[in-house]
Amino acid sequence: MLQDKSDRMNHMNSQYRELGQTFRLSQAALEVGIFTVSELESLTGVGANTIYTFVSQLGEEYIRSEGLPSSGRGRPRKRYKLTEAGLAMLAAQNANVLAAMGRVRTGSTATLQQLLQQIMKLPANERSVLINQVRQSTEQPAAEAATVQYETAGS
Amino acid sequence: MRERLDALLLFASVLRPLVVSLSKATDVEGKPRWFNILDILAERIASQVPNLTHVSETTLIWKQFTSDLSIASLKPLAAGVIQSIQRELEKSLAAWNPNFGLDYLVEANGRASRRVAQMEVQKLGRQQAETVPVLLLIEYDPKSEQQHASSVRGTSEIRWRLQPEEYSLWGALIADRVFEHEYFCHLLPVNTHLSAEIREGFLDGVLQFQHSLCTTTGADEALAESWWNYALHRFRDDLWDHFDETLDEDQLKLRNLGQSPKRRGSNYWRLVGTVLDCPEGAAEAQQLKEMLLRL
Repeated sequence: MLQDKSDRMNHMNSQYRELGQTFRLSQAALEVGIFTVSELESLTGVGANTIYTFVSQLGEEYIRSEGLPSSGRGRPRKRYKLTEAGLAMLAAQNANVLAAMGRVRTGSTATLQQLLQQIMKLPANERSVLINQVRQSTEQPAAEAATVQYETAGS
Repeated sequence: MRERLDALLLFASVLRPLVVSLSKATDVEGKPRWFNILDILAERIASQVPNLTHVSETTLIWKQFTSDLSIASLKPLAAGVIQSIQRELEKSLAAWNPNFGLDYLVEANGRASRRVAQMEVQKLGRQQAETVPVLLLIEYDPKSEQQHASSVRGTSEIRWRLQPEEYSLWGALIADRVFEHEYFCHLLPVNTHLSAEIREGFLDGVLQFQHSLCTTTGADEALAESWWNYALHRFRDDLWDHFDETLDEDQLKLRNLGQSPKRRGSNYWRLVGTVLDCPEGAAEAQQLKEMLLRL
């Protein structure tokens, strides 16, 4: 009966899957404010190692950590708290992604691949700005990222 | 219906003060985490509540829960908290009075209205808060087809529905947050035509951002806020899954705007005040939405 909720796909995860893990982690972290890796794992379905990478990349300006009592085995556990600057940065970052999508999106079910295809149809100056926003805020499969780089360079 | 409601609220009321202890215990001892443990109880309650005929039968639900192998094999600290919850459950049943469950909801309603009134005075700079506690209307929805909570401005009431679903325990644990949303996002705004993007997006984002900001690590009370944030997030995810609702993209965009400290300080709260005080009218609501989406 015990089933970690990370096994299931929650609503936001399924709807914004194409936006990447960073978007989902940022949104969940914004909502909760203070969290452990296992709590974020449960809310987003994203793997623990990816979450450790996410929090370590944020840096001290945006996130603080507090050690938790250890059970003596495994990686030391920590509770993380977003600073005000961290809340601001993640909210702005996610807003940028959504704004970028709204700029190019014609339907409501575009995948990341479709989004990128639509970005490619924009004038070069608008394209590079949007690509940077999406790239900074989402984790794209390597093949898609490579396509963007190639087509941007060739424009 | 009443016995079922009492049973759910009895579990919520004895759990709520001990969730922090349970969380701390599982921080030390590892899996199952506190939310895994609550999931098991939520599942047992949801499956048994439709058949419950007397509140004393909560002890049978509790026995089923503690017989689960994951619970029976809990390590000492978490097992100790579970025993404390059991003692509280037994004490509450021994001193049972018919208003027990309702008192829990009424207290949650009071906390919610006080918090929104406090925001009005402290953040929006109002001389006097408009928010006062409204009537709670509780209904049983055995097929879980209606909204879990809703507000009616004309009669000044909040409707809260008991539904035999797993999300109901999470919802009962954070009933104050559910009511707070009804006050701030549905009862307080002047314009009755405000769209879901503004109510569920922007205004709810403002509320949630305040909760995220208020928390500081260290103090138990402050730390508990983050667990309620977690519980609210879990509750909503499960609720949306149940109703297969789509999360509108503009809604999320405005939610991020509400959570954005870029608009902090006087400008931020002026913006929130503008939204809350937007004059009545469909055209005004549409203009407001377009304005917010351009920000």
